[in-house]
Amino acid sequence: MSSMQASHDELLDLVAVYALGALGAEEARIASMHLAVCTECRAEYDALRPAADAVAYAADDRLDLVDCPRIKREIMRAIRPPQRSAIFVASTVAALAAALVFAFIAVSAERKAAETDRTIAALVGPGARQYDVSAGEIVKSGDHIYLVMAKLAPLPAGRVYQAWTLAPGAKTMAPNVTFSPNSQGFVLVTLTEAAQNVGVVAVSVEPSGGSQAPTTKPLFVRPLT
Amino acid sequence: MQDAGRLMADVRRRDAAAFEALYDGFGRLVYGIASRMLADTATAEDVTQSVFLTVWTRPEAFRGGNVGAWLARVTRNRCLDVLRSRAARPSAEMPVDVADETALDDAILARLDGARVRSALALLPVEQREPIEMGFFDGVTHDEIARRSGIPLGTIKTRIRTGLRRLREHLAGGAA
Ligand SMILES: [Zn+2]
Repeated sequence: MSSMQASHDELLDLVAVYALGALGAEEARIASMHLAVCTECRAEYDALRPAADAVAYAADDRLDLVDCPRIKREIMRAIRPPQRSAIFVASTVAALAAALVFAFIAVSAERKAAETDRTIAALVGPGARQYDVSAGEIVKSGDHIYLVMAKLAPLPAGRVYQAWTLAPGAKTMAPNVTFSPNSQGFVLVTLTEAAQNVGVVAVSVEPSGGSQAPTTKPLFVRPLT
Repeated sequence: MQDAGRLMADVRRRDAAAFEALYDGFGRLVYGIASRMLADTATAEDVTQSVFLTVWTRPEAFRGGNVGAWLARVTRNRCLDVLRSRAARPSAEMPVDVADETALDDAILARLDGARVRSALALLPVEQREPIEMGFFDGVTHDEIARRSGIPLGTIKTRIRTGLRRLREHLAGGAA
């Protein structure tokens, strides 16, 4: 009886650490399974969890008066709907966002989510310019160029799509990233070349691993003018 | 700030003014958690932006309860992810996320602010305050807290529990 008592006190302690969020996976599983069946521990958890949540507020003094409005401006800009005639981009991005969100449920979700949110914000932001191509859109936003491909055909094994860029005044295409669309033909690609170094964007089908120069006729060659 | 639960309902209806009011109310909290957990202002800004964009694009993720507590958990979970990706030893155990879909609506959360929480924490004995702050902000498990502080694990757990109980009492007492 006394040993059972001791072990239940340990469970109550464990539940407190669980409320704080400082348990590893195995112990968290033990705590949550026990919480499902023990009213005493559940009551302890319900009392301590708000106290643990309150701890967060101790950190609310780190944003200074200069940065707070600046960050707010950036966030408000990111959520504003596009004011240009960018219906295609908007609807493509919405569909793509849904596809990406869905894909990320399977992959390690949270880390990519921040990245995706930022990219989508850039795509629909007020500074973005879009260029129609056969398979979707090229979007230039800030320093970056994005390919928002909405209807790419699936490729046989051993083949990938590859992006190419031509610098203003240059004579030969420079190789850029390779990529494959998802099963719906969607893919969102961020080119590795800074926007100011790109005058023309092309995409071709290449062997896996990519090529140094296009080996097939490009799907499109789009000057960004 | 207006009632935050009401603001969340307005955000669901794509009300940008309500969203802006949410940032005004909770921007410092979200950024503060990220800045303290990540010790890197640029990444803290990225996380802040990402958390608020998630609020705008997926407001249905909030299932009720206290909005500030929910945002704090979402932010902390996202920071844990950043810390996981940074971990030098990927095998080192990291704490698991605390579910953020079950934010409670407790009286002590009703009118929280940083100054009150900091003074309530300051009332705790240091041996209780430290493991609580490490456990919340440092992204470490209780085993790691015990290892770093050289204190037996059982003692750490008991101190966290006692400390959270006291913190609750201080916050409830000062609420009147
Ligand atoms: Zn129990």
